[in-house]
Amino acid sequence: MSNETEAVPADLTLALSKVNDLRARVLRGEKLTPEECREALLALRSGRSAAAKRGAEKAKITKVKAEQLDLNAFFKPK
Amino acid sequence: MDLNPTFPSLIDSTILSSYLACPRQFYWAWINRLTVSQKSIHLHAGGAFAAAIETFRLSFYGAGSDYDTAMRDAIERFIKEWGDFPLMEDDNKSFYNMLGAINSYFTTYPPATDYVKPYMANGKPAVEFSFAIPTSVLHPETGEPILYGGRCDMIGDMNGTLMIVDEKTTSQLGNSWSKKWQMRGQFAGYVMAARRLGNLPVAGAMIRGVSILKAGYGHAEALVYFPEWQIERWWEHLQHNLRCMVDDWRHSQALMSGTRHSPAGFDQNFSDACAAYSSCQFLNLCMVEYPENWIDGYFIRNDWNPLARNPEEPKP
Repeated sequence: MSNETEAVPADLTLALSKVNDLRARVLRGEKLTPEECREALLALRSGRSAAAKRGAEKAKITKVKAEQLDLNAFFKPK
Repeated sequence: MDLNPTFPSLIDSTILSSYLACPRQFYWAWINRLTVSQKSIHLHAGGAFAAAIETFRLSFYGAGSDYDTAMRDAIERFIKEWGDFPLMEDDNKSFYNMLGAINSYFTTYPPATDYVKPYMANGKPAVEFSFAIPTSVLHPETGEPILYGGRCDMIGDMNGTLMIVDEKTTSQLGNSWSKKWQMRGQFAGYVMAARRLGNLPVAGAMIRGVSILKAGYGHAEALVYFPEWQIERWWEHLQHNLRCMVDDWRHSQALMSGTRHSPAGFDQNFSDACAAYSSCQFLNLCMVEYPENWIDGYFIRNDWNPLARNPEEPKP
């Protein structure tokens, strides 16, 4: 079974571009190597996980900002 | 588009479920073979995923490839099956998410140590078999027995007990996910086919769910057993409903007194089926007095092939 502890670029864009490259080659009729497939899957996994983490952090920040809003200010008579 | 009503010669669990949900939906979808013009991402993604899992198993268990080679074979197959269908980047079942799901599946269930392995028949793994069983109900046009058919992912050997194995991708796994399979006719049909056609003592079905989440993937298993008496009851239920379908067909024909058919022969649900799964695709046809005038431009012909991995694939 694969060793999944190798360092991979934690960048989803790069991972997607690796996958897109594999896809284009298969659709052209080329054969892939097991190594490049393993590398692309690892990149996809870590890129996706990093993107989800960034999304969660962003959501946290948004929440804090929302709590700081004084809603009464919106309803003050002009 | 000219409507060309034809009674299906083969019924599968999807067609039966459609009739049970709403006979009018069955009329549009399976008698007239209409569908909305956009292909279903769920069927396409699920079909490509199942094809990749099948290829992995054939390569690993059948050809004796190592893990990485089997995964390469699976990826190539997945890409070919997806073809030029849009990648649907923003969809839960996007090309990329489904590719990751294949990897996650075999990381969660490493094939070398998985306690469910394919049943080997003559040295080949029993993956993806299709079947067609004649029923006692006769086709209203040909007079031949109506067939019940389907396509099953795998017959698995679980420590000596044979089980149907089926993978389902979903957005959420939980208690309700596990419970929804206990009475699923789809699996009763697979079990019956394996027992009667393959003469295999299959005890039930194992459903492996893969949920596609933002931060990763979830996995769950559900085991269901089908004793022979339950299979018999399901078979009776199937044939009862086939008779109802044929009665509706004749009623629909009688209403037009000729070769044409009236939708009115097929009852409407007027309840939850109209709104299920973000509304029935034929809802608009039930909202107008003369539905035949509203088919062109909104619907295309559906080439559903129940024996194909992705049943939306045109028949060979």
